[in-house]
Amino acid sequence: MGLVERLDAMRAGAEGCRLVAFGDLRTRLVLRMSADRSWPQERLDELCSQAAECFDRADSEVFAAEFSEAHLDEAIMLAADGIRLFIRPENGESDVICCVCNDAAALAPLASAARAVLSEM
Amino acid sequence: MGMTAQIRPQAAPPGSGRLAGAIGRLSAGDEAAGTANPIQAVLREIDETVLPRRITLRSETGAAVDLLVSNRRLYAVTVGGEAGADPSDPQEAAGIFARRLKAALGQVRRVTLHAARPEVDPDVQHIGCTAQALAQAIGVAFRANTAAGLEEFLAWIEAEALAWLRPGKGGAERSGGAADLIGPLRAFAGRTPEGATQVGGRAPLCSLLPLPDGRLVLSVSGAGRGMVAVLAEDRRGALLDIWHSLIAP
Repeated sequence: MGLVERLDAMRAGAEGCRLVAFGDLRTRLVLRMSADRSWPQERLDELCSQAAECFDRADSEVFAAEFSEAHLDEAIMLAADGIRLFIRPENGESDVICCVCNDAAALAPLASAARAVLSEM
Repeated sequence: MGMTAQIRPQAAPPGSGRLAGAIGRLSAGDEAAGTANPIQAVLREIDETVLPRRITLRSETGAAVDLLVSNRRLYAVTVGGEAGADPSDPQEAAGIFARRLKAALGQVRRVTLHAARPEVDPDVQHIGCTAQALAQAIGVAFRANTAAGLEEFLAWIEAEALAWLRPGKGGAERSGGAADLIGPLRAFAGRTPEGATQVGGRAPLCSLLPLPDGRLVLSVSGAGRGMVAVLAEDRRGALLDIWHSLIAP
């Protein structure tokens, strides 16, 4: 199964999930996506940049000193238009899977599926 | 539904400039975009009315409904001169008012709104409900005033978080909760604010970083407000629910 088919399967398996995208945190670019409709490029860029900003904060010296030195692989962003889930690999690669959904119940299955996809790449 | 709210600034009383602004916005904006309908117009009017007002809704058939509104809450719905039962709590108020409004406006295509000062301040002697609670009781989506919704969300965090900090200009910082977490939160607050890359402005955003021990480090921003906080793992579901109800219904 190719990456796009995996992203399609993730989205289909989580009720209320509107978009699943694979991107790169370093370049802040979405490289592949599965969505219920067409997403403007600026929105995709914004999504990947938000993921990068979340993980930048998690990787900051301040965060390590004050809260945790562990490599966090998950970040969530609540926005007025839905919930955004960001999952990155545990091995420190700059890949990221970004999900946009309406329902908090979708977060756990999406996080689990995203970790599985990233671990198989 | 195809319903349209026709809002006219007729005989507006002194001091109703805010209402006139809302009228102009509804007429020129929402109606043109096709999003206005009588129920939504009423919800928005309640959400934006701070001073006590008696708002009369009149349908194309001439039927009139009087709303008693103050402090962004609805206190009474009078239909045909009948005020109906007195609620004993805000939730019951939302249910009673929802049934009366649906019965009165459910089949109406257009309404006009007229606001006047009431004889008494309703929140002194009545139990009311917010536009958000009313919308939920009616079963329609409603996005409350963003700044007010965000302020309610921040107030919820202040009550529920293990620790929280709201940075302020000129030493106006506020904080609460576990003292040993305030220093770390102050250091964390200096990081890049949310929304630096957001397209289209500064809508509310809340980022969550789950720690290995399950706690959540929160960073909230929007509408000129900001907060960082640490929340216990078991409050995660409630946090998502309250965000959904206040900011992203």
